[in-house]
This record gives sequence, structure tokens and C-alpha cells, in this order.
Amino acid sequence: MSVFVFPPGPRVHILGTGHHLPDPVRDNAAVIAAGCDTTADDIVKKTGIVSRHIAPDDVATSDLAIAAAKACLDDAGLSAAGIDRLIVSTTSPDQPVPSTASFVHAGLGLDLECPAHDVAAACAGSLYALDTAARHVLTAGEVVLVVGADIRSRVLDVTDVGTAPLFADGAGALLLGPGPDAGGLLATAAFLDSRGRDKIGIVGGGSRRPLTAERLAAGEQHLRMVDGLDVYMSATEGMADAAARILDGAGVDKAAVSLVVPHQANGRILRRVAALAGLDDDKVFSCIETVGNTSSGSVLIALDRARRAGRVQAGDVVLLLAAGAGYACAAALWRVGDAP
Amino acid sequence: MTDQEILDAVRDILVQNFRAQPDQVTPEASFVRDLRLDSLDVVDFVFFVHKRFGYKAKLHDYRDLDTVKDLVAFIQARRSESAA
Repeated sequence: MSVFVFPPGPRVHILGTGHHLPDPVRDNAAVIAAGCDTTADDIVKKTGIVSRHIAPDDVATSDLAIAAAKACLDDAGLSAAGIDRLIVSTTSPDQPVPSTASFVHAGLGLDLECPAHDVAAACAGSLYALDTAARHVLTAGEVVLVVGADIRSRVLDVTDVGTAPLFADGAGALLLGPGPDAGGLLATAAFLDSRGRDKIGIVGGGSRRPLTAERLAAGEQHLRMVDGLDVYMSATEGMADAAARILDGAGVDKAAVSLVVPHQANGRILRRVAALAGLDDDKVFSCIETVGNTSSGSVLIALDRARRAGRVQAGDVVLLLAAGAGYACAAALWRVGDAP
Repeated sequence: MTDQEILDAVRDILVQNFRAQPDQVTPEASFVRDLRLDSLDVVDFVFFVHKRFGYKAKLHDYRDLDTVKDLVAFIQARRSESAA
């Protein structure tokens, strides 16, 4: 079932959020100096991005995830001992095996009774993870930590105008748990249009095309947008369609949505998603100007920043949207309880 | 609405919003090669077209339209469907 509407009764609540962005900050001049043949004005015009955060060489994806998770636990007022399950969304794992969740598990000092695993659905991954986590809360009363983290800069071709200015590094986290009947998640949704599986991605380094000297020389280790037009159309239409489906499934009118927190794909896409979905432009939260597109981290980073900026209030209906390679799309609808 | 009227309206959109020169917007002009629209421009352009002509279509329906002439025919067909 692609849209899951939560039944009446005890609800699945968001107990806390957090995020972490690494230093240093890379501005558009630095992107150009690294070899990207464009202008700072053109980057801003095409993406809405002025600067982004890039992890230093000695920092791994799990390091960002652990920092975001700790910020989230602080926000929730819980210790790591209160977590029953950990799900990490990433497509830039620390290493192929074991899961990045294993490293986050160790970093947080979690014990044997707390299972942990990765989810891979690119930029939609954190909402895929949220969908999975919510079902564990609903069926087993667990407290589940969801972390979305990526170090996209490690797989970028610094000369590629289509990707180098756009993608960045960062992690976001969210803690889900059971709570009272008022407020909580109303619905989650996940979709996949596999016709887009070859439009954007990293073709080298997996079982189909293990990296060889020749494939490395050809740049197969880099993230490539093979068909930019199709990717932008699908991201825009995919998030707008996910919005329509989850609102319809939950029986919520779009006028009742207080805030939309979309995957920070591209500044221009965000405006078009709102228009296509019939949602007010001023209800769409954006932090892309100084964060960039952080893939798995994106929507959870944006949600945490929206909360800390006071954009989320008790009783609000918040719509989370994401779209990514695959093409994967996902959404979540949250009625904020008494403590936003 | 005649094909010429649609062409004129498309030309207005391209000149006012996408840096095109009026004489560039011929029926044979390619959006990508001649009018230099990039991927994001195309997505934006579709929204202007929908607003101007009062119908809606999936973004992917425009995926294979190469020239202004292709778009004029597409818009004419959509308007006929809407009126039917």
C-alpha cells in the first residue's frame, strides 16, 4: 500500500528533531575555483544556492549522522538508552559492508537490543525510513530514531556543472515514538517509478560494474545526471503527485496544510512543486540557499530548521515531501501536538 | 485560436521570460538548440504555457517536443480536447 493512513487511537509522534552540517562552508566562488565552468550568478539563478557545507576528508557519513542524532536526542530530552530501533537513510555509506547504521549504533552507544539498519532510496530515503519507522511505533510501541545522512561531495565530479554546485553534505534526524491520541502522524506514503532508474545515479562501484582502472578513468564513480530534463520534471511532478495522493488518502484539504517541508532539491523546483500541487508558495519552507541539496539529510535538516525557526506551531498540519533517484518519492503528513 | 495566434503568444512568453529575441522564435526553432532553454527553463516554461492557454498537462507530455511548431500543434490539440 503506497499511502498508509494511521488508524484512530494512540498516535505516532515526532518526539524530537536535530541536524548537523559540517564545516567548512563552500561558497559559489570556491565551486568555480575547483573547476566548475560557470558563474556565481548562474549558480544562484539555476539552483538558489549561495553556499553549502562540505565535510573534511577525515569525516565519514556516520560522523554526521551521530552528531545529528545527538542533537535530536537533546531536543527530545532522551538518552540513547531510550531508543528501541535505529534506521539510517544514506546512499553514501561509510563503506559497502557493514551498514552505516552499525557505525552510528556504536557512536551512540546503543546496545544489543536495539536493531539498526540502512535504507537506500536516495533523496527520498529519509521519508522511506520514516514510513518504516512509523509502522514499528504503531505495531510495537517502539521509539525509533531515523537519521538521513549523506556526504555527496565524495562522489561529485567537481567540473560537472549539473551536479557540483547543487549537492552538499549534511545529516538530519528525527525521533518517533508512541503518544496520546491528539496530534501525531496522519499518514505516510512511498512510491517508486523505476522508469527513472537510469536517469541519475552512480553507475560504477556496484556488482554490475565493479570499479576498474578504466572505469575510474571514465568517471563512473561520480554521480551523473544523465537526463536533467527528465530528472527535473520527475522531481517536480513526483513531489506534487505525492502531495495530492497523501492529502487525498488522509482526507485533508490542501488549504488545511500549514507548512510544506520539501526535499531541498533545487530552489526553482521548490517553487514549481508548490504551484503544481496548488499549495501556497509562502507555506513552502526553504533553506537551500545556505545548505544546498544534501540528499538523504535534506528533508530532515529542513524540518529541524523550520521547527527551530518557529515555523511549526501546536495544531499545525505539516506536509513533508521528497523525491530522489530511482525515481523514489515519499511523503508524510503530521498534525503537530501540544509541543511542536 | 489560430496557429499564428498561438505562435505569437508563445513568442511573447519566450521573449518576456526567457531572453529570446522575437525573430528567433520561428516555427522551426528548437527550444534547446536555438532558444537555449535548459532543463529548468523548460519546466518553468511549461508553467507559463499552462497559465497562458488555460489547460494543464503532465510535464512529461512535453518531453519530446523539440520545436516551436511541435508545441503549437500540441497546444492546439489540447485546446481542442478541452473544448470537446
